[in-house]
Amino acid sequence: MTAEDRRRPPAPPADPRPISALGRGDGPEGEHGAEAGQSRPDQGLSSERTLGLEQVLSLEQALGPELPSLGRWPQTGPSPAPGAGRWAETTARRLVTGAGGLIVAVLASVALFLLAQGWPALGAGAGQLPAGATDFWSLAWPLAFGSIWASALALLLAAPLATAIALFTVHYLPRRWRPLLSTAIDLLAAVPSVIYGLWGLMVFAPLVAHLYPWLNAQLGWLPFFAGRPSATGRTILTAALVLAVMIVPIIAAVAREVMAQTPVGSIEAAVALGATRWETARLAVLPWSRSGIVAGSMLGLGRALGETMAVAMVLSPTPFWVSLRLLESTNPNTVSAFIAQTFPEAHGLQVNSLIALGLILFALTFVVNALARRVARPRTVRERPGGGLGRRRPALAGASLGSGR
Amino acid sequence: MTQQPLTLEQLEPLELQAPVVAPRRPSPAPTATPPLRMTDFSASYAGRPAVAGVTLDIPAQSVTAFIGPSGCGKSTLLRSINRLHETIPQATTAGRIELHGEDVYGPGVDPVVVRQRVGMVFQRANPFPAMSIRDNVLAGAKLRRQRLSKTAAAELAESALRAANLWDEVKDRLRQPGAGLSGGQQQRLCIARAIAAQPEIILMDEPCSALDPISTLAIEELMATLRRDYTVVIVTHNMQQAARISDQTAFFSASALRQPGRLIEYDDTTTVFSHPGEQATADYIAGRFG
Repeated sequence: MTAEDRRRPPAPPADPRPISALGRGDGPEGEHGAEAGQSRPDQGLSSERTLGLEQVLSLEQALGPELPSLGRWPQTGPSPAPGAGRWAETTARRLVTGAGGLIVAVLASVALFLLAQGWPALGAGAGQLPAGATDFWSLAWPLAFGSIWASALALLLAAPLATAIALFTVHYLPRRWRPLLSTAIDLLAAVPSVIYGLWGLMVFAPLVAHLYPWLNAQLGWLPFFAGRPSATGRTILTAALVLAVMIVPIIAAVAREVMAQTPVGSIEAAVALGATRWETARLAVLPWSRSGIVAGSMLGLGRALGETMAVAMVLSPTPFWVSLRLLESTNPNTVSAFIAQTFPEAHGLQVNSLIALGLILFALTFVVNALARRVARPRTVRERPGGGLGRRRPALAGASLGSGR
Repeated sequence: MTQQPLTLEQLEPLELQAPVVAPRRPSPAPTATPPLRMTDFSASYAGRPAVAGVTLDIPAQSVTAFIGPSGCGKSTLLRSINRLHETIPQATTAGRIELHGEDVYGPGVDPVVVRQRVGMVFQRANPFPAMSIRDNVLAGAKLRRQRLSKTAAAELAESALRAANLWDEVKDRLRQPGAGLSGGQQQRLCIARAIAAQPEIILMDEPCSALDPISTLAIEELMATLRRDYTVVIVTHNMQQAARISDQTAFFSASALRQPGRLIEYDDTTTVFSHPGEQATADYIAGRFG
């Protein structure tokens, strides 16, 4: 914010009417919008919403950095007393600036703590590390592998299932049942992980333990399913399955919201061409929501990587174990579960090594989140069908859409 | 009044009195089955009728314009022809719409099949954004589960793009995304997509309302050639456009707010615009309401 902005007189409340009027389609869209709004009140994936959003976006573009100067807008009510307005303005600005600064400070302090406390462990030798490790990296690498392996498996299982659930909710389920299923999914996302851990340990693991010998017999020729299946079922595959159950609601919720935003125009284009329901999904809904599904998956992957309790309860780990086999009773451990299991008895440099492991986990999730951002970003600048509003220059559009989309 | 056929270039854009299109057979021969026949057709949203009691025949290889003020149900009527209306929750219909003598609302009729027989072009161009220009054109044809060989697909894409007057502009970039085209080109791409599905009739819901005058002219020129092979029904808010491009004009209006729209007058475009039979039509055309 520039000094000039600070000196600007307090902005009187903007007349809300222009925005809401545009949202109802009385703007440049004119009569069609109005007609749609009045005569098709319950339209599925409402066109009004797309319309409204586009117009708000174009409004934002038009106003651009001048958006704070709402004072120029036509006023209806009496303007507030200048003194009171200035006080509220200043207080509000300080509060929100403080909130923004606080989160950056917390993040920096966590990163600093991990770096400062974890650093000594990198040079630690035999006898100073937990689990009898001889050097830090021989301890860290199997655990990092375990975290990535379990999370990747979970993602592989969860992403298609979550996409199917979201597609069913938005595209197949009758409108009146939609809130019910959406609520159920959101509720699942809110279940604490210790409950998933209990359920995985006491119900799910014994259940799948019966299944694993069969899986081993059928698919044993694949290296993943080879070896001697575990009798308890507390394997890396079970942990991955529990993780998958935990992240399905997250991915499904994100995918559902993105799918619900599919432009009515695209859907009607497919339907009018004589597409069946599945063909409409393939032509319109899935291409539109692809980047959103990927972003949701990355969110889920982030949670799976960091998940501690459920894995610690379900998995029966073997120290320093690295293997791609899914069904055996020897399994790699994950970083977070190892930290939680080892910390109570740790002392001296062992504590530092656990913090260094935390740093590795921190970096891993950071990378995943950064990837998710990269993937999610194109959505906001993508061409809107219909040209006109917000369409990018063809050369640009060709370049970015041509590559891997 | 001139008798010689006019080309579009010669037309004055705002000319209202002159018959701007060379007259064609004004009404269908009573014995032939028209490509599209509506009998006492009504369409409602959640019990509120949007358009009611429409009976009309649309002759083959002609352009029929639906005009009328907002909210008179002409778009609803158009969307009922390919059963798109019913995709909206609680939308209902009554009466008959026959496509070459076959009731599209008859028992056991699959709406998917109806929609494959009827092409539609929307108000806002809606090419599939993730698809190339070529794939956009072929999308409908592929849905009909035709096994298209590479050469057949290329030929179909070319002929449809030529028919939509777009070939010369895109022939060098068929693999590029359709969303990279201009608004007018996107709309012609959508027309090509409709044509490539080989429909029996083509519906257009205000196809030019989001376009600039140059792109509008390109679409209007295209309609003049489409008329040779296709039966076209177009909803338009632009009376000059209706006068320029259509052979028949149907005027719809509602008697009052919240009343269903009704067909007020349906005739040869020349007649509707020069000697309207109803006072409401004359008032609307003269710009006294709507």
